[in-house]
Amino acid sequence: MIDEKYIDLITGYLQDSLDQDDQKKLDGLIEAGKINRHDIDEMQMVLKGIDSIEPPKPSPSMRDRFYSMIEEEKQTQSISWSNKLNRWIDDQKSRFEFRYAIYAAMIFLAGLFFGDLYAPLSNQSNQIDRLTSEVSQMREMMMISLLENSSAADRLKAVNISTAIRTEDNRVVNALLSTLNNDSNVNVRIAAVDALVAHASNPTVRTGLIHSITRQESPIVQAALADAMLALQEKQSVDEFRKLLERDELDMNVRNKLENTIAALN
Amino acid sequence: MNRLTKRYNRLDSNSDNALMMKVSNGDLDKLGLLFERYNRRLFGFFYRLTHRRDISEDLVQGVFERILKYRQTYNGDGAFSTWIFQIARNQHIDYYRKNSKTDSQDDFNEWDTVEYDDSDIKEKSEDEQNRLLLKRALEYLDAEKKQALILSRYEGFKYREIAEIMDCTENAVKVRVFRGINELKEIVTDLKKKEER
Repeated sequence: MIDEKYIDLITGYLQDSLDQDDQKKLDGLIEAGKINRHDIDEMQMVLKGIDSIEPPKPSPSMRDRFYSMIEEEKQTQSISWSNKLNRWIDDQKSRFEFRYAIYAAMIFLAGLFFGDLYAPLSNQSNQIDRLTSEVSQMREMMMISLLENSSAADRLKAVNISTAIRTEDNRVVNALLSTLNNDSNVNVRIAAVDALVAHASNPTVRTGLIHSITRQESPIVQAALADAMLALQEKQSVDEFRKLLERDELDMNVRNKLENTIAALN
Repeated sequence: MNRLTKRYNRLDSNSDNALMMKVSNGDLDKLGLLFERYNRRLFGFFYRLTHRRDISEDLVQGVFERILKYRQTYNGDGAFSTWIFQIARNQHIDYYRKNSKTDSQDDFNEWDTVEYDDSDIKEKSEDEQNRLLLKRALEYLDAEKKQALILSRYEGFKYREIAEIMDCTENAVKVRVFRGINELKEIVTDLKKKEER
């Protein structure tokens, strides 16, 4: 019997996995008589005997059983998958009706809340109002500044700018009335009449226009004022027009126009 | 098979590991391919342990049932062959643990009567006699030595792989193989003496 301290060498030899050094070591031990060659041969004989024992073939029923099992498992799998899917869809339906509707509403309200917190809607409209007001003030300043300019074209531009100014402030109206009464250029004064008509909702404008009638020397401006009063249906202007008619130097065409205007207003 | 070839085989879409990963992900048809590759080897392993065709077929079926049941726990680590023989070994242990509780008779004697037709050993050739005696002698070995010898001789596993399958050290496997062969020698000698009487 081989000593168990040589197990590594013997089992390696039997499995044909010894390297050269171990093979030399084994050969040395055999030569030295520490391992009996006959014992190794006997062990190999036993292993060869084991190798010669061949099992029979399994019966075909083994394969049939296996494939039946697979088919059953596949059916279970597909049933369980369809069940899972149907259950998931049902869950989603019930959740959608209650939970998701609530979640969506909550998210929407939270969005409104936080949105208003960082950029309030009321502030936004205030900001727009403030900006509009600032732009209006700038236009007003520009208009007044241009009206003081010596160039008739600039003053005409100033009068046109005034139509875009929406303000309760009487400074624009006063400036336009002053232009109407004092400007040396007829075209500027006619433009001032048109611009003032745009502000007709302001009582100061109507009064200013009426008082301006007798102050005008230019037939064109007089005619323009007559058209404006007719358009505004300002009956208080009739007295002023009558004063104009008393003037001998009044242009014939203007006279006819004024008489027609008075007739229309009465 | 060198390390590179083994690694390539694991990456190969038709390697055992790749097929088992597909099974694990629900492609059950791939288990059919693994069955075709392994059913004969497993049957041989069980038959050499039990010498019963019906039990061996049951045990092969049991191995694939376990694989199917626990397929989602497979993570692809290590060689598939080692993994499947681990399952096979546990299947064999469980089977006989269960049967030993219900059946007090010596199973080995029962197998002899069912599968062996060696009652007239003296009438057979010397080689045939030796083969039958060795077959009987194997049944007297304890299960662990027998498993180590079968895995080493028939299934071609290295001692390291057998250690993995049997959940022990490589040295323990070598000791089991070494002692198993020596015990078989002695058992065969004893059986021969009994036959000569």
